[in-house]
Amino acid sequence: MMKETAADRKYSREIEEKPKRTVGIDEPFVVLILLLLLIGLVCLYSASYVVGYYSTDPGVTSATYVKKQGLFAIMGLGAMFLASRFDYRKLHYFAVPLMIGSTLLLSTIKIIPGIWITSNDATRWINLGFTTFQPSEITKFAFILFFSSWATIQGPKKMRTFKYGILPFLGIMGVTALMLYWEKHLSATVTIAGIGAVIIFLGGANMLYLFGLGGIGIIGLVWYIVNHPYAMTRIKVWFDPFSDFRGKGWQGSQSLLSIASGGIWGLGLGQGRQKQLYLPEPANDFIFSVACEELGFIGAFIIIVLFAALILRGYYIASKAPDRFGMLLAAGITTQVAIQTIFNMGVVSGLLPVTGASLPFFSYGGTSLMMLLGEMGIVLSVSRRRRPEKKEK
Amino acid sequence: MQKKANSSMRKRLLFITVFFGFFCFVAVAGKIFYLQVFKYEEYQQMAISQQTRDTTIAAARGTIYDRNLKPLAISADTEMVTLEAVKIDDEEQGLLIAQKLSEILELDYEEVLAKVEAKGTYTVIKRNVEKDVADKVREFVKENKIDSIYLASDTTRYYPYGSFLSHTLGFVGTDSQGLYGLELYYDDVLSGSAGRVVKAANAKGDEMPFEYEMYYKAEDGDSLVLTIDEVIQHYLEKNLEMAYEDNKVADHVTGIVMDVNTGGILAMANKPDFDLNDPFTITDAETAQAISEMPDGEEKTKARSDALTAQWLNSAVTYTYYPGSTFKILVSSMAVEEGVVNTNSTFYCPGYRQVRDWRIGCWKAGGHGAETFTQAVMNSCNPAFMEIGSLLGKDLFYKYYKAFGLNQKTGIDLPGEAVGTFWDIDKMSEVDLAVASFGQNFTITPLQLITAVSAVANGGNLVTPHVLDKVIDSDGNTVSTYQTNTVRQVISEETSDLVCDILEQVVTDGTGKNAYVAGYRVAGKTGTTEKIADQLETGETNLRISSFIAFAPADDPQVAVLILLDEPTVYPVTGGITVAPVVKRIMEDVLPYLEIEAEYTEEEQLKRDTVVPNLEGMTASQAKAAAEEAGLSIRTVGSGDTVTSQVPSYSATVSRSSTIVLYMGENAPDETVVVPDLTGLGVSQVRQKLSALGLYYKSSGSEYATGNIVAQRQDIKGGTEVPVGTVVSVEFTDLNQLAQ
Repeated sequence: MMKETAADRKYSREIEEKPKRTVGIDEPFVVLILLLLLIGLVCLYSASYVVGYYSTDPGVTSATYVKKQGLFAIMGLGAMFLASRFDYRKLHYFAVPLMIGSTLLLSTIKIIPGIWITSNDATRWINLGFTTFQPSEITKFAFILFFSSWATIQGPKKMRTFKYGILPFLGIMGVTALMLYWEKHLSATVTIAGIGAVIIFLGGANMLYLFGLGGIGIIGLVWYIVNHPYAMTRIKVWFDPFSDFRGKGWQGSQSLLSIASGGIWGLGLGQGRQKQLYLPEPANDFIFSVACEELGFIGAFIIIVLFAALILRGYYIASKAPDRFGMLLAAGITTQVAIQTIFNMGVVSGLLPVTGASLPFFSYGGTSLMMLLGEMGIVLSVSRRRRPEKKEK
Repeated sequence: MQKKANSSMRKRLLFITVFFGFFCFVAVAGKIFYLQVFKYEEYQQMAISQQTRDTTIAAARGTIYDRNLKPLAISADTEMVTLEAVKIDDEEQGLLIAQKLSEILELDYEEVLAKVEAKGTYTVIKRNVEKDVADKVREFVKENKIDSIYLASDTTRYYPYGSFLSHTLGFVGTDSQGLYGLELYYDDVLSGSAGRVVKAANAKGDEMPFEYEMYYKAEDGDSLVLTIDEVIQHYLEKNLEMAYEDNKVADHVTGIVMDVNTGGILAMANKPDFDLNDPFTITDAETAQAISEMPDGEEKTKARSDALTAQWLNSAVTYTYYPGSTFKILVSSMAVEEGVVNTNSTFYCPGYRQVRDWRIGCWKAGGHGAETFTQAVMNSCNPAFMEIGSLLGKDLFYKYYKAFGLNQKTGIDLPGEAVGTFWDIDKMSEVDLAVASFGQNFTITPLQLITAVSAVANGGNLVTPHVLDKVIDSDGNTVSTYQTNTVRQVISEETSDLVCDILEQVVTDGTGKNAYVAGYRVAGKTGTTEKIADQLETGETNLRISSFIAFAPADDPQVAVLILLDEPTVYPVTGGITVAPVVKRIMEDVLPYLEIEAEYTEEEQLKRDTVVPNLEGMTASQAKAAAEEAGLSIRTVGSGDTVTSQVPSYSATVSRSSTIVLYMGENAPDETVVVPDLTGLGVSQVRQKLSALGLYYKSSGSEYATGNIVAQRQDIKGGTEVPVGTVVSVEFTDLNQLAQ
């Protein structure tokens, strides 16, 4: 055993004093996860079918992608189960190390650039040989964990101050933003900043400072857009994607054509045409466009409602959490899913400018699916210890 | 309880919950709903158009035949080069394609490059590419493994006779759509419908893995069989060309040959004309020169397009003019029909007629004196016709004007038909009626005149003129046949017979003598009008339109001919002198061709030319008998028993009563003589001059008519050296025919 520090004592006091009693996991949340996962896999199969079909890699067939994703989904469900059994309060201990670790991982982009993969001008992936993953995914969870923990330890009173409430977030976010800037990963920057901001907001940060933070964020965003021609053109084609149909507006307009082509009833599962090399990344960023084309408004609406229900349930679990840490953790994870989902759907429907954002449960990507399900497990873990309903008392 | 979420946190969580869990999703769902419901049709169309590749299968355009199935306009198979520029991935290949295609197809490099860079899915690079050129493209495509260039079948329109029938046939544009004439009027029939293959394709232009293909078969166009007879058209064009040159016509000449009973146009032409295979070149050298010297700009472009439009106009149906005395045919018909005149009517022409304050003169200054109705027509006497007009009155006059269809289009199956102008009948004055009675101050088209005159000739029925005889499909089966359309009976058969008889006398003994054709009963009428508006504009006083309209045979009319010379400049320029001989030549060619049997009077029989028989090898007496049978006499040279050589030689056509020189045991002398210029000489002078040189002649025209008969043209020009015994064909005309 290490020598106990003041901080350790504070952690253990927070944790030890929590009641041990559990009530079963939140079933509606599990059902929603499974439904979305299933529908997501079906849509992925349809969307990735042509990607595999057209692939020049002889080892890749039409079913390759869905098989891989299915395997990760199963492993992810295992991770979810384990996480749900794990006492989330113990995660306190990982908050600082994970934050430091994920920052170090991100910094390898400058230290060991050889392990990073560059595609489409952006460097977002690390190649582990057997698989690839986005370090920014880990950073997202690191932010959730760290700031939930931080806000819990400091308490609402301190969180209201600039020094404890705002400064740590500003500092860590600044370092992270710099590294994501090297990655050229604007959407991750925005997502992470959003998640962090929501957590300190819930943790009790002063509204005035938060508005100030928002101001800084907006200035940073505008600065970035103005100074990066590619971002500027994306904004331009955001307003009128058909103005440069065969150029910069291609992705956005193809997505709009896909969605609209679905009409109310859709072309039928697997019958989508836009995925035939018209839509970029049909199995990834634009998978929801394929779903809209094939399933129509009826199908799209059901998917939207399921996501909305999942997120509402997530926040509900947060509101029933037995302690602040659990509440912030569950709310943070839910916020991550919410921001990513809305980001993605906003992009494909033209509400937001085009930027690389995947759709949780749907988009192809094994490690991120596993992480997502793991995080869902944490939410379930929180739900296991939720405060019982009043009438039960 | 510090550790529990306090109420401020709950509020904040509720805010986040509503924002992320509700508000944002409503926005997303709303946008998706908007796209899938309100933008569905528009975007789906865009999506489908990018997902499908539409290939056209060209339909073969129908042929245009004359009535004997001689092809006048045909389509030849060529190829079309198209580009699917979206498939070109790298810039270097794009540049190569632009360079090589512009080279092979002889196109502008920049233009081709622009098409390459436009990244379209279907761009036509060039149409109507000949097969050998297309093969070069194919080779280039193969060598460089290019998958973005396609060759598709295409068709080119080709007119085997060049400028022949140009105004009537018209021509097509680069994509084979009819632009002018019959090509335009019957474009729907000729063009058929192009077929299509619509295939689903992915963004790379490859076929999609699932089935989606629609095939629409191309329907070849039907062919037209015209009423135009290539042979008659040829006679007409030849003679129009000659008239255009002989009379140094400043504007244009028009000719129409029509079947009076069916309204079928047998020939129709205007000169100058243009080459159908090259319609965009200005035919008139002077105009072309003037335009090429203009500075580039809007004015030049306009001048060019004006010149082209003028060159393409089919004046026979688009040009309006004062019909002049030819209109007296119609005035006579209405007057006879209404009973205001008959053959016993008499008129007195003092050389003018006083109408209100106006003294309107006759073309013959001294007047025609007393004359019968028939003589008035033969003399083309204006005062007599003014009187006939006033006897009819303007209401009856206008009633027949309309009945002859002059106030509206004839309805011929050609585009751009015009209608002339007539007075507002309520405002038509006595003077107006007087001048209208001899065809002045109102306008009609040449086609309207010949259509109305055909009604007079065919027994009174106004028929719709037409160029199409029938439509046949690509297998030669008849699709539809044009049925003769009788609009109305304008005059009775009796009136028709009487007027035909009078008009025949115009040709045999009146102002139309120069249109007389031996063996045929030709009826006709002259017409000469001043181009008053143009004269006022230019200050000139001698701008005329000379015309002549005739039909034959007078006792059973079959065919009508109208010839119009706009501004002939070899004076005198009356219809009787300038145009009647042209009509006569056409009739001489057309009537035998139509197998209308000639009936010669005894007198005519004597005047007929005859064909020299082969007398070689005969004895003198045998030869004499054979020569006499052909209406020829002989003179022998030498003392042999049989004919060894003859002048003129066998099968030459000579005037009857010529003398054949027979060489008995000797060869004909191998001499040459120079043909004299005979123009302006009388008949006997011509005969003398030629026989003195050992030349023979055959005549045509008014050789035996009374009057001021002079040689007008000869087939071998003065100054030409020819062998002794050569036959010179001489045409005579009566210079006394100055009638307007």
